[in-house]
Amino acid sequence: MRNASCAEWMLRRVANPDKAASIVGDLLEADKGPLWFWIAVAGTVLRLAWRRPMAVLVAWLAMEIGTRVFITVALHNHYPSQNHQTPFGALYLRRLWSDLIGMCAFAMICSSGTRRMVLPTALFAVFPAIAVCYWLQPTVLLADALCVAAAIGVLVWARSWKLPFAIFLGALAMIACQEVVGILTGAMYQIASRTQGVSQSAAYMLGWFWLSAGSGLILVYVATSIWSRLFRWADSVAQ
Amino acid sequence: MKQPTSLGEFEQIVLLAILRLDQEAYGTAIRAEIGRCTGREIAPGALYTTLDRMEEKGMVNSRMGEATPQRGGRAKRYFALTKKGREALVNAQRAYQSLLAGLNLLGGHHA
Repeated sequence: MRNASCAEWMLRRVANPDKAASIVGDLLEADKGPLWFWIAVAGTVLRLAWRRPMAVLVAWLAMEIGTRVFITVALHNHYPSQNHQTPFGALYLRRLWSDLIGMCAFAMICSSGTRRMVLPTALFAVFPAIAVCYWLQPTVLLADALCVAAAIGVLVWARSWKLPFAIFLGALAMIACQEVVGILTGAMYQIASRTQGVSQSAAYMLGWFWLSAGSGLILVYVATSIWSRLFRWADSVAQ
Repeated sequence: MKQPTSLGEFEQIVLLAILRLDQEAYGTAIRAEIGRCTGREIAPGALYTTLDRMEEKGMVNSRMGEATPQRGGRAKRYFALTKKGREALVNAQRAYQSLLAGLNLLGGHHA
């Protein structure tokens, strides 16, 4: 049985209503039997839907792994005398670095013109990494800032000024989202500790882990929605 | 310093089918044209994702058309090449022609 309304409802989850209706219309017009119809609907839904959740997941993993690697390799080597306490400004630059790594991963998975975002994003990710490692050396910081200015200058010269602008807006959006999630989870912790007197038990830590992972995924989902729009906007310069 | 947009093989096939169909290029017709010319049975999902991707890249644009009873009253979505899409296709075909030049692939010793 070909329930076209049901098929259209499924397609509307991954495409706009006009597109969904026209696809179902095309499949009905092909008239190749109910089995073919449903296989075609399922195949189309999967093909239209898989990229976005996969890109969100990969971006989240890239940010997590990137942050861990950075803390382990770079920060522990550069701030050993301060008991791994990162200076406040360097902390935000570390976040900027991991956000840029996440943006790279997202752009690599999502096609549709966003691949051209990967190289400049990766390039910009190098600069905050250097700045964090050499936070206490003004000469290196100055050279780093000059390199950022030169990189932006090259992109502007190549008539791609929207590219660095979109990258930094995207990274700032991610930092803003992280702040919001940080405040919310902090508030939840305060409420939980006051009402239930939670302790640092294994069960509590496990719950906290899942809460962090879940909120992290939601956070990356929200941020990647902003990234998609920014990437599309930056890409429109070439059209 | 604008790089020419590169096209995959399937993207070129879809763009050529749209060109051949002119004003009648919608999902079913494009699939049928590709099947007729290449002998390939194209999965609908592959075609729609490719069309979506190319529309996002600005190589094709679409407009909604008329609805027919055999489509359950659903409108057709017609596709047309944009200037950018036509340029990308011409560049890709030029590259093929340059590579083919002197090979006599369809009748010579390479056949």
